[in-house]
Amino acid sequence: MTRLYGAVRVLLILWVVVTVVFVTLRLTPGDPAELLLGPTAGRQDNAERLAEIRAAYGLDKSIPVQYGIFLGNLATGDLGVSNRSQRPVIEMIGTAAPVTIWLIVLSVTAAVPASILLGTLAAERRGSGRDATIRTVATVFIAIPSFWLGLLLLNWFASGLRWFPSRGFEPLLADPLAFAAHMTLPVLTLAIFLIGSFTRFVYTETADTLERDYITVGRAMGLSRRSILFRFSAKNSLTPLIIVVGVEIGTLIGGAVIVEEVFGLPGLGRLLLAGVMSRDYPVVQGTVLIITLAVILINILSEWLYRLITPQARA
Amino acid sequence: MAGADRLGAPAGAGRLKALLPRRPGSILLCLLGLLALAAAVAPSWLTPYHPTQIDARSLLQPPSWKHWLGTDELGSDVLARILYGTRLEVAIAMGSVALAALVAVPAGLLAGYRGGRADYALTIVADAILSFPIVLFAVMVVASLGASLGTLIGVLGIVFVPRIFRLVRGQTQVLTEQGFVRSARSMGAGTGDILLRHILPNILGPIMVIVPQLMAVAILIEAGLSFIGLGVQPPQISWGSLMLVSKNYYVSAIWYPLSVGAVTTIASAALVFAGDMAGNAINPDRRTS
Repeated sequence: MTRLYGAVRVLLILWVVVTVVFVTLRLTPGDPAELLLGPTAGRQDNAERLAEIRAAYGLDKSIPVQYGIFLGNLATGDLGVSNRSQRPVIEMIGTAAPVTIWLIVLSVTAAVPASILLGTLAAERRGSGRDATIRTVATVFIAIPSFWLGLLLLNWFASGLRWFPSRGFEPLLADPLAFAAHMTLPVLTLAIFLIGSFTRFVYTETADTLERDYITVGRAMGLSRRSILFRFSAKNSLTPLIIVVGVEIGTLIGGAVIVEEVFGLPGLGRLLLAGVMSRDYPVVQGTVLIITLAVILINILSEWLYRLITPQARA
Repeated sequence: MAGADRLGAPAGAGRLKALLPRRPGSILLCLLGLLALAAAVAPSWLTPYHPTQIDARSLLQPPSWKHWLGTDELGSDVLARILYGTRLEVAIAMGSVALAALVAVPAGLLAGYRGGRADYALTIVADAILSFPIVLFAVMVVASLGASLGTLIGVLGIVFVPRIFRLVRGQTQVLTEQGFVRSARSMGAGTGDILLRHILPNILGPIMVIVPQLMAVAILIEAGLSFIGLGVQPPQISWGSLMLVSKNYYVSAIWYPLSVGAVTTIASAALVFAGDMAGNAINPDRRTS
């Protein structure tokens, strides 16, 4: 029963989202057919061509009818065809998604161990200079505008020192070294924000944990500092961190959009921005739908994982 | 005499005194806040330069006694441009959060207290907005309605609503079950009375924790939108638009992008710290600073 309830809820949320996207796009000034034809669209002899394009993309129908067709296609899993490139939207998303997924997965993978180390070290000596330094750095990390940081890294390490290529992407399987070189700076940019956010979280968790009785007992039994901090305490903060990663996934995708733009990575963010600028309705609708679906599913998945590893939360 | 003085002081003054910042961190934050407000209200008091004053003889000058943060590509004083840009940042940060609170606080109180269908519907709308990455939502709406101060405040206001709503709803649910609320109800207090006099005062604390943090997000999103060309348009100056222009001078005039970025970072970090301090103040046994 609760599962059905959950599924209805997800569907309702998706419906609200796609409807908002549909309405917002139709409110956007700029006729997609005219944008497609380019600067000659206003000429008299092009009126017929415009009508043809509108008919081909269903833009000649009234907005409620367009909405009905759009929902009907969605129900059958059809995201439509791009107004610009004529390619199926699902295919374009399929090409772009791996870039964004790599960016997010690598950033999270880099940020989690660093944050556990920093957060634990700060919480171990609360009120010390080390604590204050780590927490100030963490707060500054979340406060840095990510595109500004990206440009700074780009100019120092790519344009200046030439350690890394400045823009673009290379698939992992095609050329692993080039893949690593292209991903280093974008991942670093995103990871710095994450380290700030996760460290603050691990700190609060660990500060609580270290005051628990079993830690005191462990100390009295003569367990080493390292095993208390990292075998017992850090393990405790790792679990709720899964929830935080799940909750932050929306923020992460937002960050990825900006980072992709700075480093010219052909991911979902760039696909979406290009779609918005050229009024490519199917691309924007499809990308937003897929991203939202991913956010919802990851949220559910992280909650499920959390329940799986913490028996107390199963109730 | 001093003792008599203290005794004679009205209770109100003692309460106000308790609000005065004591620790160095909070004093610094208060000073920064006052500086930001002063720059927003009267930037001309803080700098002798005009932000659009063009000086062809001093383009992209490094920092000096005359121009503390150097000059930009048109010879204008960078510090003056940052100070004049503060007004827009303050307007965006305060406007969006105020707008969100205006909607989210009553909705959260109602949903948390009443439950039922209204709660279900409001929660679904809130979850829908939450599952929409802020940046994506802002890009779509700003692209369709055009970049202006009003649109920015509106968009950020909308995305902040569910964040405040969930907090208020959760707190209200907990408080509704507590003794003092039950007893007020049993003594015949009306819904409005309970919500406004018994529940609202108790959730102001948590709201004061989230408000500065959302303001920091507002400043960062404004910067991000400006970067992808969806920020306020000239001649309006915002920190985001300054960052966009300064991105061409990372090599030739590094202090220019550095100072604009540093100011933005300091402002949003200060807001996050302010939220942390508010959190410590309402939660003394879980102090984190």
